Amino acid sequence: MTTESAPRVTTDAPRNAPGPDQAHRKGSTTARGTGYAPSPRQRAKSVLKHAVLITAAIIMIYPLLWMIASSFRPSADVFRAPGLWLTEAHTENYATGWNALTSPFGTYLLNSALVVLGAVIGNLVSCSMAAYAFARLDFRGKKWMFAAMLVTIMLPIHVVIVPQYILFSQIGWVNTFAPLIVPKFLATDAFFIFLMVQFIRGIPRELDEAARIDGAGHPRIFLQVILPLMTPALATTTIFTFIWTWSDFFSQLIYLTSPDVFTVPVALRSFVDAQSSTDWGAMFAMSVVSLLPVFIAFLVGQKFLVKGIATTGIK
Amino acid sequence: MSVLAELGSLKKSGPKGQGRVKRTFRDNRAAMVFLAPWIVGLVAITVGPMLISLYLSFTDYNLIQDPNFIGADNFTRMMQDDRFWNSLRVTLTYVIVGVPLQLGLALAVAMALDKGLKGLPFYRSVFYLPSLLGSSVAVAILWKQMFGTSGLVNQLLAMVGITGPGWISDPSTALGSIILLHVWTFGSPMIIFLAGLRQIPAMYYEAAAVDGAGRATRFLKITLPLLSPIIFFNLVLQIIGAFQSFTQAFIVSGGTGGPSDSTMFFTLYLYQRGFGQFDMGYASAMAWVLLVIVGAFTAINFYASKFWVFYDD
Amino acid sequence: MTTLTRRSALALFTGTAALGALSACGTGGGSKAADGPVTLRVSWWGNDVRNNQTQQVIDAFQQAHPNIKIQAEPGVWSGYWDKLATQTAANDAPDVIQMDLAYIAEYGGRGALLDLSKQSQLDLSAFDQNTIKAGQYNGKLNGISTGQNALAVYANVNVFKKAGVAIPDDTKWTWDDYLKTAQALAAGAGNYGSSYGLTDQSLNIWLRQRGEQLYTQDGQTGFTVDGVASYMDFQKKLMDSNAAPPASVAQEDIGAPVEQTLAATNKTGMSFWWTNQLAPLTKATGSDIKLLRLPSRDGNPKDDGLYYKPSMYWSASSRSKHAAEAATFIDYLVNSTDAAKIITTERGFSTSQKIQDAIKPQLTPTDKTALDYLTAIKPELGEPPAVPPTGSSKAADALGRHTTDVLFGRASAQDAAAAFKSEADSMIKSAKK
Repeated sequence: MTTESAPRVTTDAPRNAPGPDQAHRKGSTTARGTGYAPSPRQRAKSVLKHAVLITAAIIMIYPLLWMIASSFRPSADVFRAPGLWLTEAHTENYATGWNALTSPFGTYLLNSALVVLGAVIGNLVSCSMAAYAFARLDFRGKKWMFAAMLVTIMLPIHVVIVPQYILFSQIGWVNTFAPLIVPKFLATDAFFIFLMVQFIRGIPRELDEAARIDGAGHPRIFLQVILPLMTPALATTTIFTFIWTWSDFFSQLIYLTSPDVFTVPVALRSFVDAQSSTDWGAMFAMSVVSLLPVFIAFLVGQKFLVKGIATTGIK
Repeated sequence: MSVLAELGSLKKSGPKGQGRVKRTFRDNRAAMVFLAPWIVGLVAITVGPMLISLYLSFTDYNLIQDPNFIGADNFTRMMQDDRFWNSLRVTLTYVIVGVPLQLGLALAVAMALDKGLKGLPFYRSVFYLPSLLGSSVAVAILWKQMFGTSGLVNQLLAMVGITGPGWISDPSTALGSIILLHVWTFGSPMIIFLAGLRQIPAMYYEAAAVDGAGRATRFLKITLPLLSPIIFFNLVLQIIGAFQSFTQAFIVSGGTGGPSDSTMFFTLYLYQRGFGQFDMGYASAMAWVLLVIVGAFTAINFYASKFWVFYDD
Repeated sequence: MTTLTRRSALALFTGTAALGALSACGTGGGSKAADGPVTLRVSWWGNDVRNNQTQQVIDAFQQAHPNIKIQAEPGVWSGYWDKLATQTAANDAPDVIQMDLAYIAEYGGRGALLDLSKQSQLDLSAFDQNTIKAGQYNGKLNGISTGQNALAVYANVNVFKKAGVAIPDDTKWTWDDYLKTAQALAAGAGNYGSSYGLTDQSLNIWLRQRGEQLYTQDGQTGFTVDGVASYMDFQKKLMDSNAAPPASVAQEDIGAPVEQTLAATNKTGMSFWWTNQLAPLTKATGSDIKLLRLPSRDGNPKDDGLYYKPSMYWSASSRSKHAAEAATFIDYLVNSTDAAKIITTERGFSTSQKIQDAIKPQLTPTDKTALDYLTAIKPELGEPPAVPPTGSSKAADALGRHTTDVLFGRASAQDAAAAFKSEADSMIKSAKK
């Protein structure tokens, strides 16, 4: 089935169509139409779709809602009164939780923020560089190195942590943030290398060729062609690194010993004592506080997920 | 030529043919520059510890005293260890059931959310929220509130007259509840699918619409092929991740792998032997067995990808 | 290619460096200048209450000893042992370590802990033989107990009242009486009469009542399959008579944090706890709680197998560069009345008379109740149990697993008991070097 060449289709497509879906409504639009009137049937379908989605959404976040509700209950009532409904909101958990540990909880938030910032920048820089090499360059030993990269993902952390700890303790990096940040600048999160490789391979090589014709070398192609076009991958990397580092308990537990450098996950665990009493209200309150930065990071980051390839030509 | 036909002529990711006869490795210099950080990291931080763990798997290292070489003892003991086989079985079940479920859901929701839906950012955030919680210390409590013997789920079931089991405390359903926890946190692969879907140029769909292609055809001929590198990525990494799954089982079972070892995942057992029983030699041996298994799965994945993954380069 | 050789050389270098680090010397404890103040690293687990208290003690100590600086390394139970193991592996263990019964032989038996009896700075005269014995393994004093606990049956007064059941006389009761009481409670109050005592410590008590024991002094298991099987059978009997919760509820109860347990939520009349858990449980239930001795087979409290369990220990790293200072600090922690007035009973009830007298005015009502119980059972106690040997730290988990199998009907008590014994034996055996 042939059709006219592509340019004609794009000029005729509705300019303000929010997405492919709109352009394909049969029966009430043509390829030239600039607007549409949804039939009652379609509106009902839309309502139904939203109803299903909202129900699913509530089920998905019910546990989280419960936790938020519990943070506003006095600690003693947290497990006595299940359910979401609050008769009154007790905010003292937030004040208690904030001051319960050796330092105000803000210290731990700041520490985590520092570690996360370092990790995000490190991953973005080093993994994109490595990914460019694997996706676009042709070099000796490429297959083996790619396999090596994948193998590093496959070994569980629990058996390498002891030798790694020994290494870091020999160079005096224990109880600092260095063991948590420096490896990120050395592309040790091979997950993101692989992710970016897959994204870069989705970018047509013609764009590289075009830039090369213009006289660009690899650095310029990398910076001016590839990076801008892999924004969704960069956004994904940022979001995931942020979230995973923000909640990474084990490494941060092992490397950080004095309370003033504790990060959020370690600090949160400090609230829970298996053998005597735990201030659940305070713990939930601080958990909610800890979730906020991550959630905001996600909200901000997902805007960049939206930006996709608008055109396929750079001319 | 129609857009669909153009897409159909995309090269598959098979062996490089079509015009390249001689390998010149012309990019060696550039590769060194771009790969420098990774190589340094590999050598300084990763390879050393990995090789050490390989050596340790042939010793009786207990973390406190010096390791002594004991040959393949750890491996022979492993073959006779019922708990080892159990942990392998638990993990395989989790991988085979959990990964397709989670990925399928992630893809379905990503597709439902991709098209110009009102309130899209809201839904996207809400479906991603569970992943934020997934490994936090609070999740054990929350999961028990939902799935405990007198938790919310059983209360709802009681309303329709069904007495639910103790989902997380009964050995026959405990693993299922962890698989459910895994599926609940489908937000991560969903985001990756969304990013991948966003990279598919809208004009392909528009052109296909003009050609008169229906929804199924669009999905099969445009979405799937163009998304296949991303699907492949998610598949490979979710399988690797699922084999290494630790945090959720640790948190929900309190580190015991209970009840009755029904949630004793491979890496959880490895961790218990290594850190709990000071048997780091055995734990290292287990780690390398896992690496071989995961490597095999990944290699099969890569081989099979030649048949269904399309790259545009 | 040049790149290849450079890379492999780097790999060799880092590899050997790290391997060398594994087997040879390390950085050890922590100290800055050669002549200046000594820095001691001290680690413990606890919650925010304990952390604040301990910091106060540290401040007071530093005032009294200006040449010793203390670097605090508080942690949480979950993760504490992973961290300690990793640090010990790197020769980087803290100088003073809070230690637990389950792990003292793991570290002490492998030479990681200092023999405190050889440190003159630690004054042991205030402690009786049993307290000292509780920290001895393989002839060395691996740790000094911070205080004692004992197991007790917690009787929830409100639940008993509601069920119209009288609280039994704990100087006379047998396991049969226990079962009957539990059944009466369940019938009368509508929930459960008893939860389960499913830890290795309650098993030890049961075994001691039969003349057996969990571990012998020379580091072997000291029980028969029948001994364990009868214990598991009793749990099953409790469950089958509906006096105790069904298997899945029981399972959740075991893993639940204190505030979420059946006992804390007033859903059971009797439960098994340590004496130092009286305060949180009184608070959580909002009820008066009576501490009862465990029942015996013949009704004679001298045969109920109870013992004092050290709630925790203070130990020192054998590789510490400041053994003398470490011992000085430990001495302060367990012997100084200043420290005791800050700590009170948070780490258990000290057996030192001097300390007991010093903190008497500060005892809370629940403290007093617990102390009365501990004093009352003292004349009835038998030989203290042996310290769990090297390799046995996960035996408690194994016991839990096999008992769960019995409760869920997946194994008979005999089979489960036999499996437990063989697992415990092999754990100990494979730890022997």
